[in-house]
Amino acid sequence: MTWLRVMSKELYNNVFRFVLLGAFQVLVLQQISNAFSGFPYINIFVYPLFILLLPFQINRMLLSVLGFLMGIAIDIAYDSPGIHASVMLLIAYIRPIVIRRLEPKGGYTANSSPTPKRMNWNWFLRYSAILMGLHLFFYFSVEAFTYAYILSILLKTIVSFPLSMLFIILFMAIFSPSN
Amino acid sequence: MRNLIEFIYRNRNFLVFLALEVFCFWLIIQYNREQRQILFNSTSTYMGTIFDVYSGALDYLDLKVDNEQLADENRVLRQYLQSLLGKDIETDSIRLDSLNAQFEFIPGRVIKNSIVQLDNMITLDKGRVDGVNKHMGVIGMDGLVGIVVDVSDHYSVAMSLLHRQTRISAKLRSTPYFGALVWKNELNPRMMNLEDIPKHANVEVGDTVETSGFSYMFPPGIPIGTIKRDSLPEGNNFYLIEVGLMNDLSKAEHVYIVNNKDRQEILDLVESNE
Repeated sequence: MTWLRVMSKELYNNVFRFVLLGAFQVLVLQQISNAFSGFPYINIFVYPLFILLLPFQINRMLLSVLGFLMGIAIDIAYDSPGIHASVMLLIAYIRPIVIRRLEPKGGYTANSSPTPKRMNWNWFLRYSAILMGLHLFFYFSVEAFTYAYILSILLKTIVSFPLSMLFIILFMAIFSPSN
Repeated sequence: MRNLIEFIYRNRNFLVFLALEVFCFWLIIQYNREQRQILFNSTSTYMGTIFDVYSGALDYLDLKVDNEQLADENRVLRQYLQSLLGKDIETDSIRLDSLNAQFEFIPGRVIKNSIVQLDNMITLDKGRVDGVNKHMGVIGMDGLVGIVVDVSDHYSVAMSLLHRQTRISAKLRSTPYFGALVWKNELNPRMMNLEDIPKHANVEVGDTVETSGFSYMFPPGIPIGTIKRDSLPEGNNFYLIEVGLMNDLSKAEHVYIVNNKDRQEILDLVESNE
């Protein structure tokens, strides 16, 4: 019965994270972007953290479906059907590859999640930087839908990356999830 | 057959990923190609209500600025009224002012706005019940805002000027030449381009650009912006004109939805010719 309790706690944590990150993204970060009219490169995204923090051993298909759901939820609020969903799907699909690449010598502990507490900050920063960089680049690419806008895609990626990472680090420092 | 089932089972993760990704791109293309009513957008009642309540709460933060803006608009209208009242109207002929009667303005409030995307949309708190319909123009206090593309009972979604598919018929106030106003510079939400002004037109920096009245969406003569830069590249028959917008779309809050009373008639006529 112990594993059941662990499972349900994990489920609860992730549902809570889904709602919290979604709401924060739409109600706070989207408004911040709108506030800087003279400087429209400011797009801050923390909601991908939902996918980043799912347990190491999650079923790959479930990971894709969850990424898709998170993306669609954000799309509904951003009036951009499909854009965030397609990017989140891609990130969810790439995540296991990144995790395998970054595997430390001793491997990963069973029933754990990729958090700075479980691993370490150095590992987490590398992990989240790779996935967030990919997320932002793919997002701006899919949004433009053509590489005719390649300069603005790169510029937006470069500006959004440190800002998004800053919010991710703050989020991790404040909530400090462990499992 | 067994091989096929085995193949599908072995690649099930990738296949699910692929199927969902295809679905996403179908959504993106569907939505970008035609601004057709689509299942997912913020006109749906739940999202509309959430943003309505939320922006209602945020509105208190800039009540002061709003009041000043409204007072300023009142002042301009009052001055205009005064100038009309002072005039002796000649009555030797019947005055047929079809323009004034042709357009109705439905006041509305922006409940969701965006300027950082490439295809920005604006949600308004007026819908079908209030008389809003697809393809109605939206104007702000000092310039254009967008065009309604989607309506539900109580909300509507407008394509902002800052959208790659925006094309609005506009002319130079000082000349009879007209062209299309488009958003090319996706990094500058206060700058648009005026296309199709022929090279024999006389274009000066600082000229006012206004609506032409050739589309049924906007009344003629609404100022849009001023020319910030113009050039005539070698071998080109049209000017490259950059127009600085009068209004800051990120601050659009109180807007008017323009109802052309002849809208349906014009639409029917155009349709019957196609």
